[in-house]
Amino acid sequence: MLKPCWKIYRSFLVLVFVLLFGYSKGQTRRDSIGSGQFSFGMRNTLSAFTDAQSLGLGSGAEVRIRLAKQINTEWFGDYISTNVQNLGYRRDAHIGWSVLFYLNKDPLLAGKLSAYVLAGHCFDYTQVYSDWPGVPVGERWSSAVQGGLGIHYNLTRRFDVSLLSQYMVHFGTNIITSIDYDEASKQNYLSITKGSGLSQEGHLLTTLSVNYMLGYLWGKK
Amino acid sequence: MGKKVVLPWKKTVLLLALVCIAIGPFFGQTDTSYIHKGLLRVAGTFAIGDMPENKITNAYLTGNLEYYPDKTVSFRGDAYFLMNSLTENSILKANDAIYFGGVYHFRTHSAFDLVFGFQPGVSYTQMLKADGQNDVATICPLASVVTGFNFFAEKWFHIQVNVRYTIGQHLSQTTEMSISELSFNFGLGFNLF
Repeated sequence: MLKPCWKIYRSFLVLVFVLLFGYSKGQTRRDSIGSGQFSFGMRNTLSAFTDAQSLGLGSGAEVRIRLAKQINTEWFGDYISTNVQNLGYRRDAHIGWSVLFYLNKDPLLAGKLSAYVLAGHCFDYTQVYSDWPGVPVGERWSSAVQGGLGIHYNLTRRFDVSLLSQYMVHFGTNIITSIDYDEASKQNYLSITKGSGLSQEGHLLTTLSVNYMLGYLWGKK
Repeated sequence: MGKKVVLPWKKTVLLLALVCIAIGPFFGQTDTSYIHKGLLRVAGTFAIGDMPENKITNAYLTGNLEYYPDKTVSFRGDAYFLMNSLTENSILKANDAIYFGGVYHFRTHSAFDLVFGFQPGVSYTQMLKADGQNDVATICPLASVVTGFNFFAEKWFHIQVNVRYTIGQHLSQTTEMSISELSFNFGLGFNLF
């Protein structure tokens, strides 16, 4: 028995695939150059401007499915760990997808830079820990939208190095963290409480990745 | 953090690496068939790593597996197993890591394979707490770059020398510690296909 949120998520994915399939079938010959390319890559992500007020480091993987000459999609997963002012830490697991719109007319050529704008959607699971004994772990699921700018540099026709900067806005249950002062020990500590209602939290993600085009899912054989 | 052992081998190792990198191309052969599209190679190596922020030096048993879809790029996975710290009273109890990523191979037109790679990874780390008990082990994301060379001396074998810089941080409820490390590894590899 699927939970309601997973039913929505499944329906969303089906809709996305139907739209993508429809798009790929409706292209002209020139638009379809590169359509169907399938790439795999590994990535590191720096997460900045979270409530933790310090940089987080993540590692993850991604696949790309190219829909048209100037349109690509990126499907990614990241595991990010962030120190919270030496009083605790947080862990984020991201899974999501983005659509990349290339600004060049002929992108992804060997020895060339390809710039793009991107927009997408993401799901996130967060855990926040305090080093202070007795403070419960805060956890939440959230959904996010993201947008940003990036570049690929193709070292060869199939192999590229990519740098991406995107802003991600999360909507989910509310975890409130604050730095409190303990009178007895005269020390600061991280307090974590679960708030009511929906919260909005944003952060800037900068991602460096290497990718290799493995082949074609459709189109060129 | 314990007292750091004086290690004169560090300079020796660095000098050896520089000499190898400098003279390697002169031993290159004109036959480059060892480095070919579809090459699958594996290497078993030992590594020495230095964590400058914590003044800890570590010894690792390491290995890597690499596939060349063409002559200039490859996919490579590395595994590091911490044998022990060479520094006395090190608080590092576990620091085993796996890396996976892409490597670019500079064309030397010889059997000397100069490489530069980017490999994200994760590590399994555990520290010693102030009370002498082991802290909980955690999984930490890592970023790393690797450079060095493979020297294909025979059809089935090669020598591997690598220098890797890893960035990471161990975070737990009792310990927050940088595990960023500069490591050097050397070993023998086998060309499987």
